[in-house]
Amino acid sequence: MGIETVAVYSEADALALHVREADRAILIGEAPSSESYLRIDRILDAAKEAGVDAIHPGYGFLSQNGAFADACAAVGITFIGPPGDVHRLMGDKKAARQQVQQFGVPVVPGYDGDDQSNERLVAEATRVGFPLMIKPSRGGGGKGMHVTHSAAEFETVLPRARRESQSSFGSDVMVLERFVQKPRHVEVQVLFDQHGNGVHLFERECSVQRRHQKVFEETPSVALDQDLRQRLCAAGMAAAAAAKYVNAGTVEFLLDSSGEFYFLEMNTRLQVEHPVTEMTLGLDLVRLQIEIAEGKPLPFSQWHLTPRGHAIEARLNAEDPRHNDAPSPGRILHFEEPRGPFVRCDAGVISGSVVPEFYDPMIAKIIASGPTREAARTSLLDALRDLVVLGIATNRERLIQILESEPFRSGRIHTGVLDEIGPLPAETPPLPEDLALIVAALEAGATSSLPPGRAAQPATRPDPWATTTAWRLA
Amino acid sequence: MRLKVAGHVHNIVRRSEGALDVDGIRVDASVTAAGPARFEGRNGERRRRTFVVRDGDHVFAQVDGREYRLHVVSRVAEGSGEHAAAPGELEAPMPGRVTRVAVSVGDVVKRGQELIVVEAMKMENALVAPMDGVVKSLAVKVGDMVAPGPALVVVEAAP
Repeated sequence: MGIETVAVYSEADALALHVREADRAILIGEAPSSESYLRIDRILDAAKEAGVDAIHPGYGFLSQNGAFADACAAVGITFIGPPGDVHRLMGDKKAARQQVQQFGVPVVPGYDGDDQSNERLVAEATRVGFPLMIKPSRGGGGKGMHVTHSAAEFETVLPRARRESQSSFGSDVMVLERFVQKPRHVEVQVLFDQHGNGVHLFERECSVQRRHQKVFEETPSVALDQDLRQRLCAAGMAAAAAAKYVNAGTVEFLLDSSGEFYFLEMNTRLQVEHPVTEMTLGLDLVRLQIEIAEGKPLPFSQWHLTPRGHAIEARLNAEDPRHNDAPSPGRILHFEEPRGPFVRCDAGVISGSVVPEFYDPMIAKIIASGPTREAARTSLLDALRDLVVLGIATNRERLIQILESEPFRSGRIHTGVLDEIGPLPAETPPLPEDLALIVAALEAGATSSLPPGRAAQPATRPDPWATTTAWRLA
Repeated sequence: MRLKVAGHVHNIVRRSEGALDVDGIRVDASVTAAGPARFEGRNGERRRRTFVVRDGDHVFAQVDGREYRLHVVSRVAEGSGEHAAAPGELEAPMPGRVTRVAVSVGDVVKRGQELIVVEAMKMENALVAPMDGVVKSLAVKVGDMVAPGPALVVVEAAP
């Protein structure tokens, strides 16, 4: 778009890809995000120093923080996203539930009251019934969320859920919801300009989850027929209208096996999985976000939008699927992106990158599209087999296992499907042919070519939105 | 060269220009360097996509999509023997910070009871007692940075 970019970074990210890719980068603090990426004052100081016009908050950290949106507005910097009030309303799960209900959007039975005493929560948990979900009212990303199956378990888990909520979101207000059995997670992407025009960009299905964190996302959802799609998208638009929404946002729903759907929450930011929507509609959502923030009207109406084909995204995490998905921070000695027609790789790392222990483990997203779901699935499989990450453990083989599984192939997926698929099978003994090749390569001089603390230059220009850290546009 | 993979040591020695012995069995293999960490591999006529990097004694490889993490085993290290952790010795599941220590040495604990919480990447991971027993030793306090390997807490089974 011809816009100069300024990145902010923490001490842990001094060599990170988003820092190298930006026209300018400003250090804002120490590695823990509470000392850097969550520091509104330091980010705004950097913004003023660099003279930026607008801030894109990315999709982590302060991207859904109303105080940050307000603070930007107060110093005359455009926040690329909705205003502070919208973040506060939708960021408060309790208030959001109450608000969207008034606009006819169905919600899961539960408790979202103001009395937050342990005694009241236990009583309400028993009233709503088990299994029951405890969620931080201010939460996101699955942190502090727990499913409980009895009053006794609920009482044990509640203090831990509150602690996690307090440390991650600065609040221990909890919402209780009936745990819908084997639900699908479907969500509606919406886009509103500042002049009251809004469209939906259809649905995404993100049912394949691990500990409430999405692993695969796709569009369209195989669970929707035209009638259900129309009703779901209309409910998404109603929820957005209830929030007086501006810019790009996502309304998340649970869909049960009988076709009933319930409002879960609204994400008041760009989402990690936005590329699948971009691939089937041929749109650039970040460009649209910036144009909306500039005050431009939406360049199309609902009837212009017809999705084509199918797209699936896989999230590559620095974690070890053979050790209970334990995070595996460290240096990536070699990284090789997959290539091919209709394959997109949004990576936040390159060869030599260090994955810090401080932040989210996602390091790349691999997206494949095709005329049918099966074409997209097989392209994504090829891409994951071509992807090479050496030096740290990743979930690459786990992603391949899931894509090849019967539930994924048939589309019979739900948020608990990974338990059904089961863990990655135990490692089989190495193939002698492979060991011979590895030793031959070692003899031929296979050493880490990366001097400590430095890394090779990127061969391509990866999408900066793939980084999980804060971003800034000037 | 001796390489340890998935708990087993394999002995691989060159036999000729295009062949190596893997645990005493001849395997045809040759490689041509094709870029950083990248090799055009061949087993006889079969082409194999081979990626290998070495970092000290650690070797990371991917051959036709299959990943390997290997250790170069020197004869000296082999003698000292790497013993597996005893069932009551609990190590950190990942590098992180200790955010809670719920027990003291001498405490009687029940199977499944939370002993220590290690936090990394915003996830709390509880180390729980693997059996009913007594806390025999405790090597950490709140705030310590820990990594997999050493035992953080040792539980001795109840008699």
